[in-house]
Amino acid sequence: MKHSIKIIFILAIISLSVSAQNYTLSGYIKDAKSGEAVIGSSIFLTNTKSGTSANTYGFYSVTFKASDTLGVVFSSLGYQPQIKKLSGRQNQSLNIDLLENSSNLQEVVVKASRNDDNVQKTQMGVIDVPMKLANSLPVVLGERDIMKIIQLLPGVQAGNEGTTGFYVRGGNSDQNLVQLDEATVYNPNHLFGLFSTFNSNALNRVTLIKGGFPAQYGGRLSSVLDITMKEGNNKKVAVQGGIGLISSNITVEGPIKKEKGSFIISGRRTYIDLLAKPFVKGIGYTFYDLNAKINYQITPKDKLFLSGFYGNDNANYTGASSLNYGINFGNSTATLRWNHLFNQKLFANTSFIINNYHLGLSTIQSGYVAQLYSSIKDINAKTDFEFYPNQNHNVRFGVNFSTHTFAPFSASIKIPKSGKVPKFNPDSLAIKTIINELAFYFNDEIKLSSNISLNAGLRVPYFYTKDISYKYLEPRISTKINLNQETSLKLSYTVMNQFLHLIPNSTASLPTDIWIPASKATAPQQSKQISLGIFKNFKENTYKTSFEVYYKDMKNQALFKEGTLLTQVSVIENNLTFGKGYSYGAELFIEKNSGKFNGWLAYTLSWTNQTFKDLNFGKEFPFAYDRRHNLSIVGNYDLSKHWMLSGAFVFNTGRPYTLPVGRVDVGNGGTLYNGTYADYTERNNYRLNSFHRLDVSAIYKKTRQLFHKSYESEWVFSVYNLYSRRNPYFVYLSTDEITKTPVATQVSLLPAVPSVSYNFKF
Amino acid sequence: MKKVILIFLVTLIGFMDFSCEKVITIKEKPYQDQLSIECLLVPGQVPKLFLNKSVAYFSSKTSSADLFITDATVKISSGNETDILKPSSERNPFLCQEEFFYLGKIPAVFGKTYKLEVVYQGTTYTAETTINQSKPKLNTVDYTQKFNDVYGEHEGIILNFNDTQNEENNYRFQMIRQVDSTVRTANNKVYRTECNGANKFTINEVGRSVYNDQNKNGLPMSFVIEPAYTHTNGQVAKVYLQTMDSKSAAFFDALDRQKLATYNPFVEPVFLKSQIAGCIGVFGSLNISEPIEFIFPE
Repeated sequence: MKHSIKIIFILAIISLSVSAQNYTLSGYIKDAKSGEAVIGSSIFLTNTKSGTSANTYGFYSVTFKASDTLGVVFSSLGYQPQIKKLSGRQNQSLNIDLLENSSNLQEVVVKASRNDDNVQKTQMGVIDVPMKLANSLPVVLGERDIMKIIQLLPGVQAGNEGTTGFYVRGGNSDQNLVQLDEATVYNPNHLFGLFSTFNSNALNRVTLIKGGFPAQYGGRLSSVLDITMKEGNNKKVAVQGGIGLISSNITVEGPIKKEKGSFIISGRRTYIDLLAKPFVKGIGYTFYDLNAKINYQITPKDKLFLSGFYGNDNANYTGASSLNYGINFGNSTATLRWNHLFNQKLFANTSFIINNYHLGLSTIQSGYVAQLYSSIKDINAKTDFEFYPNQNHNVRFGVNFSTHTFAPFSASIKIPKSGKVPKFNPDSLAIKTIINELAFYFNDEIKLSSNISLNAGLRVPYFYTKDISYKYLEPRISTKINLNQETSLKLSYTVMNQFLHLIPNSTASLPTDIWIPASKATAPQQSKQISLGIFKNFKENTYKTSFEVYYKDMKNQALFKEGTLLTQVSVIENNLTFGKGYSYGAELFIEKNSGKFNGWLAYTLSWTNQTFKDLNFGKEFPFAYDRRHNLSIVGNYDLSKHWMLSGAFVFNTGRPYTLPVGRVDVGNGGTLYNGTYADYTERNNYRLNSFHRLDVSAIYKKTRQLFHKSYESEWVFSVYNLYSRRNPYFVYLSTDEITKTPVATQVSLLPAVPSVSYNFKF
Repeated sequence: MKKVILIFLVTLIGFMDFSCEKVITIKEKPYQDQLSIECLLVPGQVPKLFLNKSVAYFSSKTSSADLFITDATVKISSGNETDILKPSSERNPFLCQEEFFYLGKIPAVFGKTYKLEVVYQGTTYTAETTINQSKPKLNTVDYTQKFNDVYGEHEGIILNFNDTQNEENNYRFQMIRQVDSTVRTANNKVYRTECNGANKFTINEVGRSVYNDQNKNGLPMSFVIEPAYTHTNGQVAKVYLQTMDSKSAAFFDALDRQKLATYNPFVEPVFLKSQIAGCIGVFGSLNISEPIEFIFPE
């Protein structure tokens, strides 16, 4: 470990010291129509055939050797590239506004721009979700959902049908860090996981990182889902919205002061409660979410962003005998960010983040009211620096401090004779556990030669509570070798630690997941991952392909002990057992992002196994979401000026589950045991039937007039599970008490679900 | 446009089918049958041992006659005294079928250590137990119309007793009553009692849950049990309190949790750990209180 740190620093110092007569070009790249940052856009220097890309705020900085003229191409997918000829003998600041493509220009545009980040960037295991395509894909009940798109990417396994949970490279769902404007969202789902909490109209960019993690990310083992909200249109006021079968949404954005600051506010609410009321008695359900963001350019070098998110679900059930259940859960986040440009080469962002997750379950029954409550409040302060010393280095370093306050609470009291149900104040009653995380990191993307580059970093997380502390070194190394202009080979090695466990309720998709921090009894989760990939583009980057193989080793994995029933658990730690796991596999990704027909094919072949001393007689067994084959085919076709067709087909090997293999007659008190008991020999020894589904949608777009003003409208017709495949949700057993014959019954969730929705944009 | 919407909806409603459950056929994995032994010695009673062969889970062999092993040698000995158990059977009047077991002749004695030896197809299975659970004393038996457990809301019988001091005890419910052919299981679905005609017959029900006396040494204890069978108002029953050794309790507790897990896909499965090497099963002991008469409330 010490040697690798030394090597990283020596390389960095040697490389940084090499600087001839260099100049720097820097600036921001924005969308010409809205002023939104075009995150990740490419800056390519034609002189040196090298380049860089814009950061999360659209900022770029590139240093070049002195020359008479400098050719620069600014490009991004879905935008017309801009080619600039500049003086090559001075430092320059240049802001670029990129114009969106019209569809018929796309083929030309792709050829003109490089659009080959997948091959040229050192980082691997990264997928930028194409938002445009994501918005046209069919989803349940017409609700566009970015989390459903994530499930269609290579290396990502979906959970049960109807859920938005995802499992990356054999990791559990808690091993995914979901961040919205840097704030952690602990539960990104609405009830039953049918929809995520993210309103796609308010999102600018969604990036999934599943391997080769840069050092600025930490705290989770398997993936980072980095979601950036839009900043808001700083040119004009714009309104867009949608009316669906069960919910509607609206987004308003506009300038606070033209070109200086803007705002965006976006809300969504379901009316399923109102629709169901006449037909279903005793059940109530609502969800809503709200996103808001403002930004303001204080000086040319300083910009402030304030963003917030609030999502909440409320459900209740009133049954016979005055039985009453209630669930209330939600996330709220607030992020204040300050961008400061020290100079052309040094960019800094300082963030102050508060986020809150709560889950409340209440029961009123037989004269008693019971409440189970769990919440996590995080306060997080961080500073990240980006330093671009010369054309061979892109350095990032920073520090991150966060406190997590866990407040589990449960109580049960008798309802007084007055009948007034007492209210609890869990926040004041809960016994709080406070944990702290401090992390430093340093990361340098080093260009060693024209064909070889290295991304080397180190993260040092330190976890402490009043009882215990843990500190680790997490080396992160990725390297890229260009085999030719269109092909590269990449290798990465990462070590990750995670100080939180989500106690998995693997089969059910109810929001009863409970987070617990690392402690003396619960060691932090750890992983080491190595991955190797070849990246190749064809037909001038029209087709992008990648083939990656990986091996991931995981320690301190948590599962419930045998026979644990979540509703009966009072002290969770006492019902957990710890073990280890490993996953390996191969992922193929073929993507076409432009032209009338675009889409992707993703195929994953993988194996994930776990070993727990207290489970399966200590023998290895398949992970609950181990799926041998996972195929997604996603397509989008512009049929005409008005009509667009989309489809998504998924096929997964059924997930493993446990069935007894033998049956024994019970002698004593047999009737109570249905006459038999079971002989289990192996955990997860059977597999559910294969899962496959085809979703289709047709979108009709038209520009219409309202009060002499034109607006864009679209009707979206979609069918989820077109051929109504009975995909397995779970299998349960029963026994005929007389014949003692066991029966297996498969439960499926969603048949063909048609939907229609209407969207508009002023 | 309206036409498009109409056609779209009409066509797709045709595809929709809301049935969510279907019985499936599981392709079974190869299974090597095992020997199952179940025997709890009770002071003052002759040994009764259930000896069966396990079968593949979905096998069509389900009756006691199909699974019972008739050609084994079963011995229970204590000191120089050996009891050779012989195949026997009795009628289960509720299910109207014969049930088979091995039966001894020498009643078990409190405080003695017993060795079990089962020889079957050339293999010998052995186990040992000591009957050292004192006879428990049941104080009172009550009734509640409603109580809640993981299976929902039920009526319940409440057993009140004092834990026996300075002993590890694992308590279980037992109730014996006379019923007629109108009796059903508690879920009111299962019966096959017609063979009894108008005659009354005895049913013996044993609680599935086992209650450990940890941190209750000598203190008052109580637990509530849902009766396994239906009853009529005013019906008389004899309620007993059993206590068993810790190995047997672990086995029956695992069995209870396994039952819940097998039928509930949201519960982690429970793998039984046998108390007898080389086979599935338990050889232990229990002691039973004097009964208290209980009358189901009118």
